[in-house]
Amino acid sequence: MRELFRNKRKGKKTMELFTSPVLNLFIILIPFLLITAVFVQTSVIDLSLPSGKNKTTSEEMKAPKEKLLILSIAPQGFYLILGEKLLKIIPKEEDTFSFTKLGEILQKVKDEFPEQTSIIIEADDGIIYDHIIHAMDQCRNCGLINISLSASKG
Amino acid sequence: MSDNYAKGGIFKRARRRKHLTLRLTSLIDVFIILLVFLIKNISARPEVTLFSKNLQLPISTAGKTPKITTTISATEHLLLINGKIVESIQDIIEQKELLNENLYDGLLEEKKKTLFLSEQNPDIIFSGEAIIQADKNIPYKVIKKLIYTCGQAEFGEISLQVLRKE
Repeated sequence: MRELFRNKRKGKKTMELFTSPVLNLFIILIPFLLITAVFVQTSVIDLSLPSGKNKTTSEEMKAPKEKLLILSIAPQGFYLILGEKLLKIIPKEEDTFSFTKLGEILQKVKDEFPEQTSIIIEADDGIIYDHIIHAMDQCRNCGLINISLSASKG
Repeated sequence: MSDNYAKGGIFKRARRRKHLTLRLTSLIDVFIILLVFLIKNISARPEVTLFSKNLQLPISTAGKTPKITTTISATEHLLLINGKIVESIQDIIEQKELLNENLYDGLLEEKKKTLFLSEQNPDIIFSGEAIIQADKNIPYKVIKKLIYTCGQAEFGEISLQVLRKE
């Protein structure tokens, strides 16, 4: 019995996987993949400026159902203006802009006017770029794809 | 007898030690995990635009990939066109009018270069495309002036570069 057990153990010991070729392959593959790996991906947001050969004006003429929707970003918070009247004021909460609330309200506006795809973002001089990009993201998430930037007068 | 047996055991163990190889299984496990992670991360299109380390782009959900064009980068202190310093951000903040002369001249030069190239090679056309890479802490005042100046220099197709949110 003991003899048998020993033999079995011995037999197992001699069986080994021949792993060095796999390891060689890995050692070559891993540095290669590490070099080519892209950890930070960037993307772009397109803006079209009015120029001589611009098409946006004619497109705007084709969609008369669209209303003028303006999102104004002031140091105190967001002002949402539809047509001529002020639709909603979203004040800052604890000194930060409440982007989730803005998203909810924009979604409500979009549900009410499903044809609306354009929005004008009007920002105050002191608003930082990051907040504008976040506001644009919220607009895009709600289906308001045609985003224009405008500067407040003065 | 038992003494002999013990001796034999020692010898046997010593002989067995010669056959010992490196245990690579765990190392291979680690490599397999790394390999899967790196293959997942690999993308077919390489990054075409580079930006410096001190430029913090904002994070956005936008999904369009950038093209190789004229890049205007606004870091926290300097404004660059294709990596060349044109103006300091402080000067742009302080100036009253919307048009920035130095940026305008720089952009016209870029435009002239592209037009010259397009004379030699009809495949290259001036499309008025430009990418703006701006630091996320830059005030809108500066962005506004940059966009206005681009428009004046007939760079009408402007893209804002952002970091992609996963």
